[in-house]
Amino acid sequence: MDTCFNVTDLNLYYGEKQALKNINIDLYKNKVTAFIGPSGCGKSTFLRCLNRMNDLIEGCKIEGNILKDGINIYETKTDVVELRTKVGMVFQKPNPFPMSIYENIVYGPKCHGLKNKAELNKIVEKSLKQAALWDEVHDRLHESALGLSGGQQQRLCIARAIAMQPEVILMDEPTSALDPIATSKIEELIETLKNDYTIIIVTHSMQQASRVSDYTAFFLLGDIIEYDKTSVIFQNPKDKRTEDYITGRFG
Amino acid sequence: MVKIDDKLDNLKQVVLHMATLINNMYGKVYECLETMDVDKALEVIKMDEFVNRCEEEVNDTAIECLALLSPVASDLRKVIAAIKITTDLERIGDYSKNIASFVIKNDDLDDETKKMTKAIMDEFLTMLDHAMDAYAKEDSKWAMQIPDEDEIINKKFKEISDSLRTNEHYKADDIINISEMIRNIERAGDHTKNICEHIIYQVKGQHIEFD
Repeated sequence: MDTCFNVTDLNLYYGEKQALKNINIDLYKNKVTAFIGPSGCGKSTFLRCLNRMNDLIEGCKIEGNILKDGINIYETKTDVVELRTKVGMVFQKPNPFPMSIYENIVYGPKCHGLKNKAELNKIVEKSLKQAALWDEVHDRLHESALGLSGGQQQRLCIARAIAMQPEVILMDEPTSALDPIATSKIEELIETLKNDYTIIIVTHSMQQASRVSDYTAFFLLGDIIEYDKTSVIFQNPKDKRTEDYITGRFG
Repeated sequence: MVKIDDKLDNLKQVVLHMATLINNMYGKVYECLETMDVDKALEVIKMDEFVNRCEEEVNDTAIECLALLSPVASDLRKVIAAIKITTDLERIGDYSKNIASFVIKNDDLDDETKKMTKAIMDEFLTMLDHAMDAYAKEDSKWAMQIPDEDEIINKKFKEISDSLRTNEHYKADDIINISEMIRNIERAGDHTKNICEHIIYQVKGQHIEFD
């Protein structure tokens, strides 16, 4: 199976505190991988390593290698902007820009110098269709994105990430602020998106991890305790700590 | 203690209770065979209703667990194993009912056949007792060994069949009926073997199929 990221001996420190300990993991292309674990276990920290979002945090020190297509993304010559176009991100709370739906989608491509109106229109339609939002908003593309519901805003954020034609979409608890119907739409969307993208999702919902992901990694205190097919993790985990966590007996 | 622990414990208790009821059914059905007592045979048939109710209770509790508590890992396996074990126990219960029906419909057995029937039934009840003890203790190692006991049951079944063929006391129809009656015990042994497979799945998460 093709890998998207090969992570070896990754250690991360916030000042003196070590947040990730010797992480070794291969993440697979066109698969959904879920990171689960209790709060503060390092799963979001690790997710942010994959597009170097931790670079923005003062005092954050990273050792080890994260190879994307064979190249270490932490090499000094890596173009971080280029990396983040390939590795898009969707956050916990929907964060559309305070502008129209249309402008939200074309913001990234425009920043990259695309000006052709017909091209931009095509990107808007394709991205919104892929994010399963087109039917709901195609007749009000120039209205404010802030007028959309929470679930629609989150799908808009996914469409905005897709507009940059990334290879990977990182999702940090993308449905924790949404109701069950909006959550189910995002989960359906993840299922269809994996045909074209690699998706890595941090979630606190065990059911969500088991429903949407192909692979699951269980994090605890900065370590990856267990990483396997989701069907194995949720039916017959090898490590007692994984078992205790997913069955709610942790601690 | 998490909420599901109560439900899982409840499931286990009902499964064990169901096995105890079945044990009592076989005890009574053997007494019926001794005396060909029709009233007692009818009691056995009545007892099967309680066994079936246990199966319904396990199914209802299991469905509630699945719907409300989203069990995973060993919790999920316990729920699934309970459902599957009760299905096998229910069939084992039906077999004792079949033997009771034999008592109602047929004439007395000769002493030799009674003795051999008691011997095979004792073997089966010991095997079932071992299986349910392995279930209670969640002992997969023991569950791996118990299916060997089914070999003895099969051997005894063959011995009885051979002996019936040469028995001059019975008519051809009697031989078929007695043979079918004892076949019920042999089948009950096979279902006990299935129970051992479910115990191993519950404890180890492995699917093992005994021949």
